[in-house]
Amino acid sequence: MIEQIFIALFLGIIAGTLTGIFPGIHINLVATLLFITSAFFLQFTSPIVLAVFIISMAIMHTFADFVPSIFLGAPNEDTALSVLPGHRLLLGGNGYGAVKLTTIGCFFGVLIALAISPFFIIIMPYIYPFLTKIMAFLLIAIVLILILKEEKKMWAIIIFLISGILGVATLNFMVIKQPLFPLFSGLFGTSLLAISFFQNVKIPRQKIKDIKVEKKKITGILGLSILSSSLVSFLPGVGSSQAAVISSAIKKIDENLFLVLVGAVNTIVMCLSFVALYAIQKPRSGIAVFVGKFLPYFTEQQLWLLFAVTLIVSGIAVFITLIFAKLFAKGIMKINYKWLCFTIILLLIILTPIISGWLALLVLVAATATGLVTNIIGVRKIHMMGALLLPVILYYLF
Amino acid sequence: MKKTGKVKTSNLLKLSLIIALVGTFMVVILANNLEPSTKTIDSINERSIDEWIKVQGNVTQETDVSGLKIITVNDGTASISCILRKNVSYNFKDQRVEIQGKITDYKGDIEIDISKITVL
Repeated sequence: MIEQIFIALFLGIIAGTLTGIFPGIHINLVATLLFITSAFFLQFTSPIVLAVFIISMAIMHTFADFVPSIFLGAPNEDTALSVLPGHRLLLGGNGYGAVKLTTIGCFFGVLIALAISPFFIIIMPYIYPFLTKIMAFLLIAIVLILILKEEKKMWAIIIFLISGILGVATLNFMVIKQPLFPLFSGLFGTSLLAISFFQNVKIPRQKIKDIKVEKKKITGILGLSILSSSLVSFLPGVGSSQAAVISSAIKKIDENLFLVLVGAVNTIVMCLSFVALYAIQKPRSGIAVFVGKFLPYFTEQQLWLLFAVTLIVSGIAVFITLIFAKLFAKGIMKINYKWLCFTIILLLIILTPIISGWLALLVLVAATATGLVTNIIGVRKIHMMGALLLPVILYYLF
Repeated sequence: MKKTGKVKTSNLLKLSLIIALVGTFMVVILANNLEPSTKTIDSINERSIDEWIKVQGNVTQETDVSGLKIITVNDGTASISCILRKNVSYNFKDQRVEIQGKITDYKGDIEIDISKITVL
């Protein structure tokens, strides 16, 4: 059994590295494939081994996912907010340092999540009904704070509303599969890549060195990530992106620390979604849904085993992610960045009908145009998170 | 040169804004008017999870559970549980209905989360 668990752990790390490094491959896709073929695997192994594979893949993916977001500008809904600060650091020759900051956040996020889990297991069943009631109002307050902080308030409102309406319509567009793929590829990916392409952006020589951030400030950011992640981890429809938005509204965060924060909330939310599965028997992430399928009677012993797996994978993920960040940093200088942007835009255009269907191209175009407006006007990209915030606000209100 | 650059940026802004508004409007219109494809219940399996579908059949069972209505629909090929997340007093039992919704999984059972139900 223990050998099988370790094999599943390492296979999960390989799968998570591939899904993280290549844009457009979602872990839920691999988890679905595993679920469909699980009858075959369960002849040789047990459900807990399959759950170990899924969790190892998910944790590794969360770390590695930032590499294409920062170096290629190809994000998903979880890493979208890292693109702009990441891109700025890349243009300053600090792409590797940017990935290192998200990796630091991811790793400490795991440690924090494991440390606070026992507390959440006890209090969650009591505060969960209360959080459900206040979530819509909390998110409305967050949106208002972010808009009021913006200099160009009218544009911030316009961007929020266009993104929000596009998000609501796309999520209810019944003929589109994986609707978040064209939506977030357009809002945060192709729009920035198109600007880099047209402005003929040159990537400077990349330095393989750390970006200095005060330890005290990192501690403060990690504290903030605990607060925001805890608010969203137990509720449906909200996740790491909302947690990052909540944190931004609470405190002004500089770009380097924001990368630590985005990394931390991603892993905290992922880990706490397993705690939610145990504490309130509700899956709160795509991956927790599959863990719940394999372990319908999720025991405390299994939870601790999965935590141990999470810890081991996180340690390994730090090294693997930084190795890939180095490879990307060295590789990106050897290629023509203008044509790399063009190739990634083309790849996202080709992947969109394959993953989500032909009509998703319309979503990709509308989302890209919204992203371009945001870039040209110069308002914060966080207002485009309306694409997820407005649907969630409406869900909780009605 | 600077002036030309500014003109170009403002043109790009106008063009992007128009595409964003028109594109969003088209997505809203299409999302409200395009219906998912009709499926027979026996063709629904784990691979269909998260897919939006339309089924037609007779309601063979109806249960009200704390704000939810659970109805069992049979289309002649098989039966499936469908969840209506609203307090509806209407009685669907023995009626022929058309259901649109998303295929979900609840504790290992495949169900349809109803977004629209029409009595035929």
